[in-house]
Amino acid sequence: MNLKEIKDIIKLIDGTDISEIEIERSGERLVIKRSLGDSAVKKAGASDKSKGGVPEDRELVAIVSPLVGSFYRSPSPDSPPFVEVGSEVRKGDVLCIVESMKLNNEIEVEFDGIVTSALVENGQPVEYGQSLFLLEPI
Amino acid sequence: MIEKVLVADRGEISVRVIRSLKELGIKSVAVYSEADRNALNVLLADEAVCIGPADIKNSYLNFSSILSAAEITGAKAIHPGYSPLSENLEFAEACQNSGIVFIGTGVDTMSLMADKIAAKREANRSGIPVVPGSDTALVDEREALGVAESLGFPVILKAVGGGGGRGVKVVPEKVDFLDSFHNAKREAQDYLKNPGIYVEKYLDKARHIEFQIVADMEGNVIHLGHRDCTIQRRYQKIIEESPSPVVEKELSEEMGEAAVKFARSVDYSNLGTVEFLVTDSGEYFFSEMNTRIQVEHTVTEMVTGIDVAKWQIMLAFGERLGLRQEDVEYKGHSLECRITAEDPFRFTPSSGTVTRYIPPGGPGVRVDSAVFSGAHVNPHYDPLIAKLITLSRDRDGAIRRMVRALSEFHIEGIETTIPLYKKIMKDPEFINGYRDIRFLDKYI
Repeated sequence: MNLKEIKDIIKLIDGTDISEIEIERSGERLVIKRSLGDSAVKKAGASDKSKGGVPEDRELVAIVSPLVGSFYRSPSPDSPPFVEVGSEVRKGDVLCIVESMKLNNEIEVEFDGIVTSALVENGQPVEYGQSLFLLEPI
Repeated sequence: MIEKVLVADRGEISVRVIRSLKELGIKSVAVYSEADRNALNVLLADEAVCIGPADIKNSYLNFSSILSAAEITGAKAIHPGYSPLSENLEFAEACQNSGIVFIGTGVDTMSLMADKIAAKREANRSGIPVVPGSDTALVDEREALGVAESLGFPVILKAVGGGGGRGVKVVPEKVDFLDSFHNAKREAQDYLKNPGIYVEKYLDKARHIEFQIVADMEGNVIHLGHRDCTIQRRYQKIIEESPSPVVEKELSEEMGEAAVKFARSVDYSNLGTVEFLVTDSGEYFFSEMNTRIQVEHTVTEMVTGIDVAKWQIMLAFGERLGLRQEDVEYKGHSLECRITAEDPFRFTPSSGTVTRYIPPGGPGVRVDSAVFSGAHVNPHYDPLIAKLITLSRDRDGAIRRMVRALSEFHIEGIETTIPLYKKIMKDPEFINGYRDIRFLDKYI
């Protein structure tokens, strides 16, 4: 499953109340969990990677926006983004800013993980509950 | 001309406003909580922004969410519907500070009318008789009792910062006074910004007659006739009509003139409603003025043919009121029933999915609603789900039409108050224009 397909799935469930979706296809199993309101997560189940032919399990958690505003990847236009795809983050790290009414709100992650995708372009408007990043908890 | 307006309310009024915006060629932005994702206003608007979770405080009453939504969509004006935001000074000011047009009256007049005692003082100053009562907010119970005694029982306790029937208590006799006063104070403290209570003489059997005021920003003010909203349950209107079955044309003109004079004296702009209490003997007293579009603006629209919601938007953008008082014509009689998601006789709230929704139609029948088959009615929000309005040549015709329309209206999946209105429309006292509302006691 490539990033575009994952993004499309996210877009599909973003407009609904679906909080968890599991997709299995040709040996790959992908679980996406959205935590609405807060970013707390249940620890992902252990995946069995050792034996050949066994599907690789991935449980991803979507970080959603707790407010309405404009999404920014970096603290300021000239600085580098807070995180990139592949970045490892620790609980309390800032992932991005959602600016609302001239106030920059830092969005922190509540668990340790790896950023697997960024779902919104820099400078784009976001609404309450909109998925911003996908993280794989570690 | 403003090109995009954000509608900061939900339910039927948000649909009403979006319809007017469409007719004016203005783009609309709906805002919704997670519980209203599939609401009609969200479907009809050009754009929609999710602003928060289901609970009102963190969504529909969350200033920064709403102003942010205006910012990210580029909406240059906000219509507050008739939500609490529509009479919220801080919100109106926040809009102003953000360079966003607040569709409604100015901050000064909003502030004046929000203070019910100050509004009465102004009305008195402009020569209108006001309901006799205390001229300051009362905090001390002994002082309040003194005022009540000088007015004579029964009295009514009201919240200075209230309105729309909130925090209202009738005190029939002296012995009930202190308890009622304590309760009223506590309610005001818990629910309203202003904890002040004032006492008024309770005018038993008085009719609630209100005038629709329309004013531009150049000092032109007219009224669009009156509405009789006497039929209420716990101070919430349930049936409204225009004109009143008991107010003669002459009295109406006199009151209308007084209402306009008052509005002019405070430099009122945009929409407003001046409320009077009218006694059996034809005496009228100013009670309060509301500065938002009212639920019942519909019956005025039916009888005058004037699109009040559309005018509200145009006036907010500086349009001049092209109408003079003598241009306003009244034709026929209009009646409205507020259909709510409640048990029709016990009024316990009902929620769930509407499995079948078949509204009535035909000549002289109008339905303002945000509900449809498959819509979800949420207990978090106001239970009003549809306004059923009829227009006919006269009151009898309007009532008969309402009976016909109610018989066609099928809403399944939730309880509604349709059966209650069916009974009231057949009640001989109602049909005769009722002298007082005690006839309702058998139903509510």
